[in-house]
Amino acid sequence: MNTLSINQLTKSYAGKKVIDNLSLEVKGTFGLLGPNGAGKTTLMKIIATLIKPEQGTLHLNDLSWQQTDQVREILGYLPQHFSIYKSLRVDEVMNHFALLKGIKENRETIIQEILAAVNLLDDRKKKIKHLSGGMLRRLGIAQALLGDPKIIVVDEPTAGLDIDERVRFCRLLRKLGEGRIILLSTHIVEDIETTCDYIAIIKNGNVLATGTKKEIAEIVQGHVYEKKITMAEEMPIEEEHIISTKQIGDDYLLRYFSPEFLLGSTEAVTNLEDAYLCLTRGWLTQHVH
Amino acid sequence: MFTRIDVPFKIRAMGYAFYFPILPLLAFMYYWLNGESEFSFQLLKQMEFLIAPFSVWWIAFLFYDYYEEKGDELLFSYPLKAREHGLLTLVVFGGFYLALILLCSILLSLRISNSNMLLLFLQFGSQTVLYIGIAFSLVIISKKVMIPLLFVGVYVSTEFLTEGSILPFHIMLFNQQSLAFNEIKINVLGNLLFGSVLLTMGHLILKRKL
Ligand SMILES: Nc1ncnc2c1ncn2[C@@H]1O[C@H](COP(=O)(O)OP(=O)(O)OP(=O)(O)O)[C@@H](O)[C@H]1O
Ligand SMILES: [Mg+2]
Repeated sequence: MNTLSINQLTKSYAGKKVIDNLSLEVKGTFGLLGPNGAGKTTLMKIIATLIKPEQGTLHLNDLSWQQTDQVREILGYLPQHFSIYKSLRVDEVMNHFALLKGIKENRETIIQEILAAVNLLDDRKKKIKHLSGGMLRRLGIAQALLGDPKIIVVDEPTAGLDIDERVRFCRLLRKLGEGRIILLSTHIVEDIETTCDYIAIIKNGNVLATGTKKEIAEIVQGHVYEKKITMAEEMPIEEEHIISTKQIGDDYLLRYFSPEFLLGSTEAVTNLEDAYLCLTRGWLTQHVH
Repeated sequence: MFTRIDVPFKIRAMGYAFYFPILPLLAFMYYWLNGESEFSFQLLKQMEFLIAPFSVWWIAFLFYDYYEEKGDELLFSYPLKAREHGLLTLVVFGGFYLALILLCSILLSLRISNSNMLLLFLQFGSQTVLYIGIAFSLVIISKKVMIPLLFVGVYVSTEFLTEGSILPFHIMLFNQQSLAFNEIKINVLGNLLFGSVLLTMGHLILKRKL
């Protein structure tokens, strides 16, 4: 399996380290999960060759990111904000991007295939400004797919989409991930769960955890509990350690983090969201180590 | 070399902005056809204060998709060289504009007695090269399409209204008849030199960003 190796990457803005000695192995469909300002976009821009790190290296097999021109040949990138050539048509814009990617032969066929894959073939004569948010995202993915790149970087692809479009988009990414690396970022845990095989949780430019969904969920196993309380009852634990509250009839089901076993609670089977909250809020490091 | 320069697409992407420089050309044509022959010097003025400076328009709008539609990040992730983003595109559109200048110079030489088409072209063409250099470097530095337009607009109007009495640096010659080579050579060389410096500077800044 192809792996993008990121080694000891550092990047600062105005003296503040936005990416801080970060190392990561990116493979398969890979999700970057992190709160606002974690450094996701910055990391993705470094991978997309748009900004140069102060320190650190990136490699995909023999290819080093020092060889910017070669990297751009095998890269597809969808920035966080994608909206360009608003008064032109989908097919015109795709043809232009294909030309920029250096695709000379069978350009029309290739574009048709890609537009079909992202389900935009029927809309290819529409102007960009008349596309819906979901269609625009799919066009963004379509241009990233040109030239059959080995690695595709998509920054917050589901932001601003409605639930149906989000689910559809995640499924599309999953399908496109066969045989290449897809790196996507989000702060919506659900999207990662449906799309990605591997995950890294990052905050303050650091990797807090990386692995498969299962591995990450297991990190907090034994620290997450559930307890049923009535509406009248006082909260048995500090507000800040609560993961979720669900209403069931007249009762509440509390799901919360606790470093030790609490009487009257049952241990929960942990999921990715538990791990994300525990790690990014620092509960685990505060209490366990 | 030019395989990744998509001229028809660039024109469509510029939309109405592409056709706007045709207006001053129409004004020139109108004067050329209908103006009184003793006022032919008006045409020389139009060339210096309207037609040549208007080259800034196209050059600035070539970067509309990069900077005003915020496409720069996406486009810079494509496997293009700095010269394909910048200089080679300028060669095509700047070349096209220079061809228009040549056409105007030919028309002028037919209209103005004792004039040399080549010298007219040297005068206005070199001015155009400098304006293109100014437009390119300013749009790359400021990342705004309006900045070069405003800068050149203010410069040219000031020169026009003050007849060159305030600003220290003159791109234009303010001539009322066709000049001899000796009278234009310093201006031509200066404009070409300064234009090349600005083009190189714009290119290097773009290259460093990539
Ligand atoms: N060009 C810049 N100049 C200065 N600071 C920057 C710049 N770009 C990013 N930052 C800062 O770097 C930090 C990380 O930003 P980044 O955009 O990478 O975060 P993110 O994880 O993508 O956040 P979000 O989820 O909001 O998109 C933030 O604190 C941001 O303010
Ligand atoms: Mg971001």
